[in-house]
Order: sequence, then structure tokens, then C-alpha cells
Amino acid sequence: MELQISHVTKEFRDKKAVDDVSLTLTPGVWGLLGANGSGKTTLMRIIAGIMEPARGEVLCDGIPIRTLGERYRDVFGYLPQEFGFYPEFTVKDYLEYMAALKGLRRQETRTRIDILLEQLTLLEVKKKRIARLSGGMKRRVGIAQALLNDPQVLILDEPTSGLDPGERVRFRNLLSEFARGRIVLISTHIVPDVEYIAARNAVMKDGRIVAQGTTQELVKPVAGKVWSCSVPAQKLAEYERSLRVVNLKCGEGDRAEIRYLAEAEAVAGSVPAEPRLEDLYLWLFPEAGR
Amino acid sequence: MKRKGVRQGRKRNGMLKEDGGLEERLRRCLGAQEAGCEALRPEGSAAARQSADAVCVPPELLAAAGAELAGRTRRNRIGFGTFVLRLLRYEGLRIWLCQALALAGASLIGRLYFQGAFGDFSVRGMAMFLCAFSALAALLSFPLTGRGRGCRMRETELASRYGLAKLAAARVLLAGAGNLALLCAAFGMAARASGCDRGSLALYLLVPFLGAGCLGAGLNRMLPEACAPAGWCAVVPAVLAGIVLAGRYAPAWFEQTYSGGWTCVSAVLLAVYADQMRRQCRRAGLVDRIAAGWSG
Repeated sequence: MELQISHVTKEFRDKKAVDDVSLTLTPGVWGLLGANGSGKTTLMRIIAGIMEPARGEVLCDGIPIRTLGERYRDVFGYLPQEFGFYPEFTVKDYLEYMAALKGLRRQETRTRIDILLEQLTLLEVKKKRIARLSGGMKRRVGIAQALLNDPQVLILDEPTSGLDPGERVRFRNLLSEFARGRIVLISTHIVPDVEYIAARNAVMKDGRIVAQGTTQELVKPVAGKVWSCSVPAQKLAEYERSLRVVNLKCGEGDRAEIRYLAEAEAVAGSVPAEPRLEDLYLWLFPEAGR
Repeated sequence: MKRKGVRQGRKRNGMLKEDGGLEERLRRCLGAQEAGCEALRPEGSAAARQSADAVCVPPELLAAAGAELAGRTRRNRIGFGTFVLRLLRYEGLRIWLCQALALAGASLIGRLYFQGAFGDFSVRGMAMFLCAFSALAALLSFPLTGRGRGCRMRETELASRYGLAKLAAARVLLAGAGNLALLCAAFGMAARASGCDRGSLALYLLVPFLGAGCLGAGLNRMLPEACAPAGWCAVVPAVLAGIVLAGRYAPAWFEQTYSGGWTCVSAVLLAVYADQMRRQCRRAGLVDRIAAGWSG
């Protein structure tokens, strides 16, 4: 299966949210990185088929998703960034309701719900009202509904938001296993979540894809631009103002370890560091680090 | 869309019809698959493969049949009727309970008022009561079926197979069934309680229901999402007050009898109402509405 996003543009009254974006998604996990307002959610809504682009189209195996209609939604799972529940729903009620909306038969519904409740460790709370669950559990319920119809294309907008580290690891492992032979697109601000599992990433800025590729390919622009050094703790504020500090770690005594981005060594005694995806993110979005 | 689906369905089956010989062999393969033969599954047993070879099925045909069957399995979804029945538990009961409670309460109040004002359900009193009851039933349907906005369910509902348009249609059908039951109950009780002829009773239920429904559909289209609760809270009392005032200052409207003219009026209102409901369901599914935040 292949999802082709072809010259997609979406404008709102005051800005171009998505500007001539072209991307071909193949089976595996794809990360979509970008700052707030870069157009990720709009692009995801267009791929989900719930928002019409002003220009361009999204094709699934060469057929526009508009033409496919219900057949596309049959093989599609979507978790929006902001989603809610009807107040009277328990976890099981909600999943059964969504299963009906997805057109699943009763027997298939029961089987899928049992499997997903176990995989996402929601068995103990299946009869609890969703409104009473923690934020992380609510997010897992949302992920469960996206997986109900065993989709071939899974679009997740900020799926790990609100999950604790253990839950994020479990979720990453679940996705990695799930993504075999399927297309999974994750948009997130938590760069490590895609760094560990995404085979390929795309970076969006101001509605455009500014970079795409494997992690190794993406970090090439910042290769040789990532430095680490030890600095006096009293001068930290000064360095934070003058340098693009990616990471700061207070050591023992009066020293601190900083990791910063610069074209050349900016602090005496700096050593080059191995670039990571987070470095690229902050190189492209310097305002995100402030 | 349904026609397209039917065309595609035929095309899917028509794929079998393009080549008579291929069609027959594919049908035999699929029949064998559905009977439990494992010949088409890649992981099928060697014995099964041998039996498939025995019916002279080439490997590429086996692969095509397997893909076709996989597609069929995936397309094995519930129909719209089953979908509506599945929603009974989550939408139907809620809508019917709200309708029943609201109209039972309104009936109690209305009965006391109209009986008090017009004696023991005179013709005019009964007519006004039925008008108010049916108008209220029609107007209540809109806020009851417009769920999902405040609960941030719209995106997930919109992205599902049935989507918002068919979900809206299902809700309208469920609310309509509730309204029909309530109107029939009101008709039955009115026929027993008053001396009005049945044609007139039907007239005072049907015309206000359809008229208020058309008004409600128009308002539903115009009301911004943020103002919808306040809007309906204002519209319902306004319509009821209008009926009371009409009873005082234009009593002739409540002394009508069933006639051919009213049949024509009802037919026109019914056509407009049905069209409004159809547009409302379609509008519910229009993309970008979630971005704009409009109701309906």
C-alpha cells in the first residue's frame, strides 16, 4: 500500500496552513515533526479525509481518497490531537460505539475490543466512565479506537501526549509491531518517540516540508554543528542568551555540561557531538528551544 | 454515493464477468475457499495445493482470488439498517428518553393551562394543546440530534466509515421514530378526551409539526455553534408563546377542519421538511465544518 500526498495546499482566511506539500508514505512508521502552527494537524486532517485541500489530492494506491470514500475509511484509523467522549460512556461503551461507526460486525467488535483492552492495559477500567480516567488512560482509549478496524493506514496526532515514560515505551513497542506492512504516520513534539521507531521522518515548517528522510539523512545538515562542553555554572545565563543551547545539565560543584548548536566551536574546549534528531528540530525551529 | 457503491459492486463482480472462462474458474476457486479449502491461502497445506493443481488453477489466478477474498473480507461491514439498530443503545434510548420526559412535562403544564383557560378541553383548547405539543416535539429533535460538538467527538466520528452525515441521518431517523410514537400517543389521547373529529386532530398535529420542523431546520442552519444552546432556549418558548397569542387573537386558526386545502399544505410542508432534513444530514458531513465550528 502507498499513500501519495500530491501538491496539497490548504489556505485559511489569514494564512496558508499547508503549502504545496508532496510526500509519499510507504509501509512503516513515519514521523511528522514541526513546531506549533507549522501545519501538521491540518495535513493530517487532509490525509484523514476530513478536510478538503484547496489544491492537490491524496491518493491511496493511485486512487484519490475522495473517490474511495468509505473504502478508504475502512482501512484507515485516526487519532486526532484533541478528542473527547460523551460523558456517559464507559471505555467499553465508547469502543463499541466507535466500532458501530466503523461498521464492524458484533463478533468482530467483541474480539477486537478484548484484544485492544489487553494490549493497551485497559482491562481493569473497561467498565469505568472515561471521564473519570487519567489523561494517559484517556489517550490510550483514543488509541484503541483508532486501532479498532485493524487499519492499514494509521494517523496519530500527538499520540503520546499525557503518557508517562513507561506507557510511551509500551506504546512505541506496540506501534513498531503494528507497523509491519502498514503505514503509520505520527505527528509529535516529543522527538525521541519518533527517533526510536520511525524509519523515515518529515519536518514541516510554515506549511512546507523542509526536510524528509531517515534519521541519518535528516541530521546531515547539523553534522559538525553540535558541540558539547563544560562551563562555569555562573555563566550559564550568559551562554543561554548567546548560544543555541540544546541541552543543559548541572553537574556537581560549579560546572555545568551544555550541548549547543553552532556553525563552529563557540566555547573554548568544546568537542563535537553526535547529532540527533532533536538537534535538527532545534536547528530548524530555534524558537522552540527558548 | 450509493449508486457509485452499487456500480463498484457490480464492477467488482463484473471483474469476474470480463472473461467468461476466467470468471468460471475464479468462481470455483472462491467457492472452494469459502467451503474451507486452503488452496488459496499462501500458507495453505501442500495437499491443498495439490488438490488445487488438480483443478488446473494457475498460480497467478490463485493469487488474484486470494486478494479478491481479502478484499471481500474487508468489505464485510454492517449495512445502514444494522448501524441504526446498533445505535439504539447509545443514541436511540437517550433521544427517546429526553423526548418522552420533555413532552410529558410539557403535556402536564399544557393540559393544566389549556384546560383552565378553555374549560374541559373545548375544541379550541384541544387544538392549541396539540399544536403546542407537536411544535415542541419537532423543535426538540434538533438539539437532541446535534450531539458531538461540545464533546469533541466530531473528528473521530467524521473519520469513521459512516461519518457524520450518516450518523446525523441515523439520529434523525431515531428522533423521527420517537416523534411518530409520541404524536400517535397524543392523537389517541386527544381522540378519547375530546369530541373533535379525527381529521381535525390529525391536522393540528401534522401541520404544526411540519411547520415547526421547517422553521427549526432553517434555524439550525443559521445558528452558530457557540450560540446553539441559547438559541434553542429562546426559540422554543417563542414558538409556544406564538401559539398562545394566536389562540387569543386569531382563534379561527384553531377551529379548522380537515379539508383538501390542508392536505395540499401538509404535502408541501412535508416535502420541504424532508428536503431540509436531507440537507441537514448532508451538511453534517461536509468537511471543513469542524474547522469553522458551525452547527448543522
